[in-house]
Amino acid sequence: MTEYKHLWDFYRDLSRLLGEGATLRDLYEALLMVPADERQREDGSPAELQSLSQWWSQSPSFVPIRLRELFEGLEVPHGEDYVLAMVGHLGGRHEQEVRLHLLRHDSQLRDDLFWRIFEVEGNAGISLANVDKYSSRDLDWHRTVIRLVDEGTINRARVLRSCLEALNRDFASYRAGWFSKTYNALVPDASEAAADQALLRQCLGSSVTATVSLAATHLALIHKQGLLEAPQFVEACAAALSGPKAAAVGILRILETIAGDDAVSVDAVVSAASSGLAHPHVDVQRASIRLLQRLGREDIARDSSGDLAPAVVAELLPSAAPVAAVARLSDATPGRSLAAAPVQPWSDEDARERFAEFLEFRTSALDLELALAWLAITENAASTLTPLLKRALRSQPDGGDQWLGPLVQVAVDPETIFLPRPIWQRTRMVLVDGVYVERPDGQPTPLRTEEERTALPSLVTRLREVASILQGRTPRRRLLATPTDTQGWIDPDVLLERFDSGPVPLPVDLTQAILRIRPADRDRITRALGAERPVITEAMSIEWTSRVSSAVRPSGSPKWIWWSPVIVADPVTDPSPLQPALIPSITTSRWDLERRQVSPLVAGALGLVDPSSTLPFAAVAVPVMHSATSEVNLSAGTSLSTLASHPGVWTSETAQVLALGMAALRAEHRTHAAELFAAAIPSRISPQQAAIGFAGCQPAIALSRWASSLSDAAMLAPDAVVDLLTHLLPRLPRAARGIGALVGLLLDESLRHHRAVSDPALRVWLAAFTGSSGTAKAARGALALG
Amino acid sequence: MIAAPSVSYRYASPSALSSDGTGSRLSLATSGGSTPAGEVDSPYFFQGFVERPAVVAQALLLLARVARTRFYVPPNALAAVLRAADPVITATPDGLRFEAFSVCCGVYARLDIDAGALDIAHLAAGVTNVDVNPPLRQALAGLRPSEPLHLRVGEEELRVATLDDELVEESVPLPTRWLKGFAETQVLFAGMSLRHELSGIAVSRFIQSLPRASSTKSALWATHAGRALRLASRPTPGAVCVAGPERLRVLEPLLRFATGLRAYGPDAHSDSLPMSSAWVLEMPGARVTIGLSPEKSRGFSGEGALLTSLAADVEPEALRLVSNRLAFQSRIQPGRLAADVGLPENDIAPILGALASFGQLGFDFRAEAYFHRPLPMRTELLDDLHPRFSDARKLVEDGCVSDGGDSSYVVRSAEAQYRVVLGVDEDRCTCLWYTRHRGTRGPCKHVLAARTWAGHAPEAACTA
Repeated sequence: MTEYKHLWDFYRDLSRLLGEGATLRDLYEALLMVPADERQREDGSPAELQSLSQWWSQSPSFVPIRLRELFEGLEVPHGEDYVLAMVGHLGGRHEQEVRLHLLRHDSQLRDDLFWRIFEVEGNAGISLANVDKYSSRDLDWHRTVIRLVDEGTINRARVLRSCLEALNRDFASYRAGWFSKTYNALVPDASEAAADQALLRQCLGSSVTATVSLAATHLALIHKQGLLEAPQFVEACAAALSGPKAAAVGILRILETIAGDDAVSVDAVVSAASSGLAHPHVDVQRASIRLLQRLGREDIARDSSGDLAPAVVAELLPSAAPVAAVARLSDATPGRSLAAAPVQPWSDEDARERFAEFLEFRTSALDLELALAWLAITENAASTLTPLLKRALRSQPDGGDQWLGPLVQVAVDPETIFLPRPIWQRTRMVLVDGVYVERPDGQPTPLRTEEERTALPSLVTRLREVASILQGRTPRRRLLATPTDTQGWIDPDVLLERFDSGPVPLPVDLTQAILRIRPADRDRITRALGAERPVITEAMSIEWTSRVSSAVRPSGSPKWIWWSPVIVADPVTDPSPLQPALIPSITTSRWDLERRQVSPLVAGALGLVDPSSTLPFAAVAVPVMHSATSEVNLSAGTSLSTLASHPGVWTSETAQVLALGMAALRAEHRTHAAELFAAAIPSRISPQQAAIGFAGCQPAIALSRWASSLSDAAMLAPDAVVDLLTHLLPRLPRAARGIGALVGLLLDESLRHHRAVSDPALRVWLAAFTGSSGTAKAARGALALG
Repeated sequence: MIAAPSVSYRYASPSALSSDGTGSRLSLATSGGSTPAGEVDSPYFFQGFVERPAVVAQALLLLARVARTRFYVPPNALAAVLRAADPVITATPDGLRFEAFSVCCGVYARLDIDAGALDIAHLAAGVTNVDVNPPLRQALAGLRPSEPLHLRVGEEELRVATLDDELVEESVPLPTRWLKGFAETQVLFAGMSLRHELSGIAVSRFIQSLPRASSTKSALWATHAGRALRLASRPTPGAVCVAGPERLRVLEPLLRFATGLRAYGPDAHSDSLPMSSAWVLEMPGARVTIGLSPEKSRGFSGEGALLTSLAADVEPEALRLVSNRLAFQSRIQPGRLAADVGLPENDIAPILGALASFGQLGFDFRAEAYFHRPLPMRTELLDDLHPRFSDARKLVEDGCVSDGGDSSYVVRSAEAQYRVVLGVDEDRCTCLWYTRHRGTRGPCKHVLAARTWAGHAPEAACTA
């Protein structure tokens, strides 16, 4: 017999031993070939079991414990830790044979201990769901159980029942998923399901939507075969009527067919049907009202008509009036108040406190401007900022604006080199006196400068200009580009006075200052300063391009489509420190977005580049917000805030920032965007222009998110929503996924606010919907409003 | 050094739900506790029928769910396992209260069952822990709504019987922040006002409209929208913060019983940082209160709401005097209490705050008053529970506070010097803590030290 050097060698040899038909005794004898000290460490002690119950070693570490129990009489407590140790370590990650073998041949394990896997939930490390998630497909616990059921090793009826019992143990949804998946995979027939219908009824009250759906599906099957225990079902079903839409509709269908049964209490059915009125989905509301009408209790639905979807009320309760729920737009609503206020310059007295606050949040571009203004003029930068140096140097995980720490460092120690160009040095290992030593290999390679890494290179160069003042290489001065009001504008007279009283201007400071003069004064001021007027990109367009996955759906269509915005600007020149108002033409936005970092601070600073135009900001914010539709983007919130406070003119390209925000992954960004929508339309941009922007990025977003955000915005500005939909819908493909939700929203809001649907283009577009789909019905309902 | 606090549970038998042809019997096992007569091992507080079995069963399940849930998992702590603490039950003539606190210390839950919804055969005042084990949870989930439910909290016979081999014994180490948080919620609640009220279908609509996931620092603000509530991205006066809004969805299983929802919060204004909030779901004969911390990643324990009260330097003798007067009142009336103990009524509020910090009191929104509920905590843990307070006291004792003029103070700490301004509405400091939280998590140790020094002005050389 093979002697093993380590226990790990025994684990690796298990597959071979099982392949050769080893018995449990053979496995134990092979285990004895492991050095005794290693073997005896697997003693099933409480500490070891606790470790195995929490950390997945991906190896069959439970096997030695079990073999020693069987053949050495090792006494191990069979508590929860033991069960989880078995779940995690009865076999390796990429094989199933060990698990199958022990369950087939170890009768105590199979007949007793195995069933406890249905009782113990597990934890973040070890659970059936988690172990299966990271195990090889087809070799996981799920397949093991199915295989053992199929071959008759374990009792099918008991597995089905145990799965339902587990689903009623209030496990977390992630871990409960394993049991619903296994139950469904065994495809119980109606009689098998009916045997456990009390458990299925319990599942209707679960807080896990997948469990409720499972129960509703199987109870419908039981009902279809005439095996449903109707009175008990009626008593238990109300819990599911606030659950998933399909489950709720299924439950109401069952109620409809059993409402007339003698054994069923009509009052109980009425009570259950009333619960469905609270469901947010119109299909559930419809089914509930119809059932109540059939039971002669329409009065209950009528009493709740103010909380039902107006389209449902109009269809089924025509004499009830819809109630409009409108929230007040407050001055705190983003974009609501655009009044400019004078800025409050920093002084030596308050600079430390204000700098500390700025460092903590690092998002206010206006504060950065004021900080730079103070740094450029104060003689007390070092003494003021020394206590903040540690905080300033604290690393920022998202990168992109790690310039503040070095700037404070320069203020404290002027000898410090500010933002040196990074280099990369290849190295190689050489053997020196028998020891490997790392040595440089070739010349160092310069990496991208900070200007080349950011979407706003002028900002970095302005920091360099201020650093040179702090280092004493340039005279102290009042910076020219410091805004005089909170919108980022500079009073022309103040700029001239700064210019006249200061030393030779810093080049980027001067350029930025000119861009912050209102357009009507720019030529005059530029001439007075003897400067060149910066080039400004006046127009750009955003094209959306796509690429598709090679994987296809059964229908032949691609499984995934990735959309990217392509910014096309004229002239095709990237912005530079001296030309910050140029818009980069981005041909592969994704690549460029990563290459040119847009931190929250940079997103805010982009809004201050040229207060008269939102275009330079939109060119960078569109890719940012597009990424926020599918993943967390830390600059998304700042981008929306910047747009809200930006005084510049909105174009349809600007509206795309808003449109993408309303389709963002995170609810808080959608909420933010809905408020900005309500504040901006029509005061900042007409519904027609906004609709062009929305339609432009439509291929890249989920229409259902727009429907949800527009519904939210309708609580603040219902007319703006109806107006936008009036101009947007005719621009959208009728077959687009989720279009029904937008048509339904148009109908609901038109009904709620007594708006006619009279726009000719919209009516033509709506009239083209035919058939009995929900969308077609909503379209006809909207047309009927005239 | 004081050992980490822990709670030892010692149940005579597991809690269980049994059914026969006539109904179900829910026996909740008790472990240790207090009564007006003193400490007892296995208290017997209640026996009788509950009017709404389904409401009670689902609400108890909700409490058990909150108690064992981490609503926020810190990075690199995925496998950290904390045993959930068992719910605390308080019995008074006004009814039964069950309380639970989440493992992440960010969500508080309480079920109040009114005496009117109980058919009482036996009711004795007191507080104890009750066992809610996994088989019991499963049985509660399967309870038939129409079945009569007989509830028993504790066993009468156990007071004389020898404990048998069914004894369930477990010592659960409770992190200090858990204990702090449990106490802190009550003081925070006392500072909140009713902001919104919903009824009927609007309750379900609002809860079901909450996002199912949000980023770590996500905080939305519930604002009026006609008869409904809307979640806004910015605070406005009257808005209630819903930080980590998906946490409030724990109420979902109770929505079918809901008759109303009330939202409580502190005063908000347009510059407010995220705040704590409390949500009371009204059901027939019972209500559930959910308290949410200002951020998912922040437990209540860091809120520091108690510290201002503590800095007021409540006299230990006054604390004892008031504490001795409390006998499981379900509504503590400061005026009457002041008259009883012979103290000015203005002195009572800080004393109640301090007692709450010891885990002696809970706060009831409906009564708008504290109720007496002594948690199993030792009062000498106070310094451990409030390190900022003890740090501040040390700064004062070491002479690190001096007058800076114009209501400002200079506080020297760890080689740094901070400027503290004590104001009528707000105290300010130049330290990182204040910069970051602007007073929303209680005063920093420098402000506490300045406040304490302003009252005592000791003379000593700074050694900190």
